[in-house]
Amino acid sequence: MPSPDLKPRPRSPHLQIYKPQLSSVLSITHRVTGVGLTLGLIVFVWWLAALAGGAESYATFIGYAQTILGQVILFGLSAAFLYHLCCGIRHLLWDAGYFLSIKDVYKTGKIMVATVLLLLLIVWLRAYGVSL
Amino acid sequence: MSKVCKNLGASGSGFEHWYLERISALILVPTGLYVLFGFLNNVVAGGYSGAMYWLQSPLSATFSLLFLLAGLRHMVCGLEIVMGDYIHRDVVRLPLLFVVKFGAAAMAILGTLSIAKIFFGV
Repeated sequence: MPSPDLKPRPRSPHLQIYKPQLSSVLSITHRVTGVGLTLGLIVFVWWLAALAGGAESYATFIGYAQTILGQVILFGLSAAFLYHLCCGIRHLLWDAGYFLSIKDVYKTGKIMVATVLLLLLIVWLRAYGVSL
Repeated sequence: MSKVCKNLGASGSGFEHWYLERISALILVPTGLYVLFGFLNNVVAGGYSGAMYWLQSPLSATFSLLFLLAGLRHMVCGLEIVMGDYIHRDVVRLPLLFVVKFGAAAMAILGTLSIAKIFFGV
């Protein structure tokens, strides 16, 4: 019988207990970006509604988007989107039974992070009018 | 798959939730890329008329609507899992889950009506 004096045992997913490793850091980042992308869908619907409202309401939306705060938020959302997309594809491949060894988890993790950074660079160069 | 996944685990349910999260993810890969590149190629530089022109194409409207609805369903699935892991008190988690689901439904309606209005040009 466990003693009632024991302090409460850690509950899932044990964020403070384990030493951070590439596998766990990429996993929690997938969660954090997923939750953050809730704001992304809100902005997407706001954009759709502003566009449906006509040229004037669209100009108001673009005015907010072009402020420094707006650009920082859009940069964060695009980074979260690209990360969650690439890491999500990795999750789907795991679900299908591929790349499940520890070695493959690290290898696909590194490939995934490099892909995200490259796509993020391409997206923002394109967004600021650099032709590629 | 149904032969091995008969919800025989300790909770007695959950396969449908797991499956729905993956199906919506599969839809989000092509539609998400399409919307991203549509934004980069037509919306960012094209202004109001460029955005209208892009969304008035049937393919763009279909992909945008699929992206919106699959995205909202995927969002509800994910938030439900995360809230289940970190919010242990039912009196907090369950009302919050209602807000998430109601908010997602409202966003689905607003987004669908907006896409329809843009597409039909009314």
